[in-house]
Amino acid sequence: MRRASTLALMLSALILAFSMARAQQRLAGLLPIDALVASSHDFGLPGWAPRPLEPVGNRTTAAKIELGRHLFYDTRLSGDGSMSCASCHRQARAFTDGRPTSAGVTGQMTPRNAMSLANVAYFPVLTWGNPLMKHLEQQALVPLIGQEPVELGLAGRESELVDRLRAEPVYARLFPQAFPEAGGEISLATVVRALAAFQRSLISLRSPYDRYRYEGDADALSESAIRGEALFFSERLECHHCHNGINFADTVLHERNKAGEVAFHNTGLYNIDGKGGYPAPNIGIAEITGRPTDMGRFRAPSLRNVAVTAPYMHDGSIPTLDQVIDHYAAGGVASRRGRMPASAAPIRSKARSCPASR
Amino acid sequence: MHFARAGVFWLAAACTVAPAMAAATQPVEIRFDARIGGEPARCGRTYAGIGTAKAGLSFQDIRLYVSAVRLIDARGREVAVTLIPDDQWQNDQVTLLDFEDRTGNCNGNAAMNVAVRGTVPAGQYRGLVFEIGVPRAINHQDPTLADAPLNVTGMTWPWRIGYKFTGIDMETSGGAAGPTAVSGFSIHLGSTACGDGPPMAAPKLACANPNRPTYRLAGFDPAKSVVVLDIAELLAGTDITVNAPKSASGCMSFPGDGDCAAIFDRLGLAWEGKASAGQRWVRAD
Repeated sequence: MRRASTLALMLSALILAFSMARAQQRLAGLLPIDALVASSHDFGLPGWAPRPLEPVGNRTTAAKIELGRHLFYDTRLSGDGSMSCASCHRQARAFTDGRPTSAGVTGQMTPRNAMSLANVAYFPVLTWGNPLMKHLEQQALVPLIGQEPVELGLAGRESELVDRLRAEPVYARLFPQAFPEAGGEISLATVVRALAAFQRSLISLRSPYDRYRYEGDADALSESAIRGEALFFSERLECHHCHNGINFADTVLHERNKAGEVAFHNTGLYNIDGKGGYPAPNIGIAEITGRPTDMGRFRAPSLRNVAVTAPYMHDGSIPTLDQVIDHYAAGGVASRRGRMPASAAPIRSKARSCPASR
Repeated sequence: MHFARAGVFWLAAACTVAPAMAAATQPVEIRFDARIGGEPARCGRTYAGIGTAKAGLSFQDIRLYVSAVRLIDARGREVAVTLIPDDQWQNDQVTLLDFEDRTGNCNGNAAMNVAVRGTVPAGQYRGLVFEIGVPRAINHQDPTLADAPLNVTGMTWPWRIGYKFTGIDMETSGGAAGPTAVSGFSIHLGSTACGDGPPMAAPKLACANPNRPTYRLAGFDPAKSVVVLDIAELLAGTDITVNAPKSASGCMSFPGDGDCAAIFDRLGLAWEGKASAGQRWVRAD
């Protein structure tokens, strides 16, 4: 008995040493995703634009971006080879898909509208309704291996994914260039890190408005657009409270604002119970935080490239920009159906001050 | 100088004491089985008469994490089981029980794991306490770098940033809903209402709904007993052929999901502020 237990202890010590060695080996290759620092990659930013932040554990390099670009468009990244990241994030639509909500490989629908990836590097929280979703490396796992709903359908099938990528000659070159520290390892860890690096490079700046506002080009905007700017930033319409800064969004993070700003709003789109209720499963960040006051609170999207990202709102329920403006002009279309919660106050206050809403 | 010398002495003493301590421990294996009533719950089989609709059932996945395993000694004291990490099924804090073998319609892999393996101080034990769940300290991490058994993509919960404590996925048939019946039903238990915190690290505050049920089995003799997880009992108060409207398929711990009320009650967990009447699905055989 005594000998058996000594043997068991020695065995367990051996196994422990082995597993610790493995863990250290992995850490030597790839770092965990944690602290953020200003990127030193040359994104070709105009002088007035701040550099985005990126995890110390996944510094941006041209080789990683190039690998990520291949992976982003590769249908090997779905269970049945039918879809890629680009299926729901098409460049021509500012990396959205033109649908209210999107179907995954099993036909199951996502509950929310595919978000634009333009300037996603400047967002400290990434999605419509999850305050915990802070890193693109983490976010990439949601479509890849998420099961509620199934999107790309790779849960439990990552070894199949690795085999498929190994069989493609271009990756024999791209993975070692992107991840020399990990010996060019093809794994879920390197795939999500490369996808994140590519997405951070999707920078949309120097629009006509930027040239007008930041670069002194007085002719870049039409007279009516300049009148629109005045309305947009007025206290009468108040659009700028939620849509400001480099991304026209009040959620922002970059080298000049390292603390970051995070905001989620209930804009009065629904009020199903007279108490500000939103229809499940899109109940805003209340789904994650469990706080009743978070009912219906979603992150304001960036307005960059917004003309090509229809349909609008978290559930894609508003087809055109004109109708979005009507929604806000009404102080939230659901605002007059019963009492709205205090969390919808920004819209309610505007409804009071805006004659068009009466 | 004085302290340093004392430290060396202490280390030397510890080294000579170690073999004696080793002799005072014994290996222990705590065996589990997933069942449907009296039958083993396995892939590639069908079961009938499940839940309030007496529906048909087959599995696509049956995996779950257990942790905080303790034995109860003759004097009624809880003694922690020191897990033996094996780089596949368990680390020093959590064990993955795996009842799927990828036959039939199951996802996963051929290998199964039906036991927790560890050591305890030598002695006689007569009871068992354990939790279902991944401990908070390791539930929020980068899953792409995690070591086994937290590197199983089928058990990660990327949207919640954590792990599914139970990955029980089923196909259903029959029931009163007839041809319009839903064909899938899952039980995904996990922590919800977790406040903001550092990315991919344990949240500063405990989740409002940790959803880690604790089970205490008296009369459990590790040499003879098996912990039975009876999924038929877990589903006994639920119509698995319908899905509560506007909710994930089955019960995925989402607050407001009507499919969770009876299942949480039988898991032994409070649901929407209502305390459980007591767990109904775990027993010692």
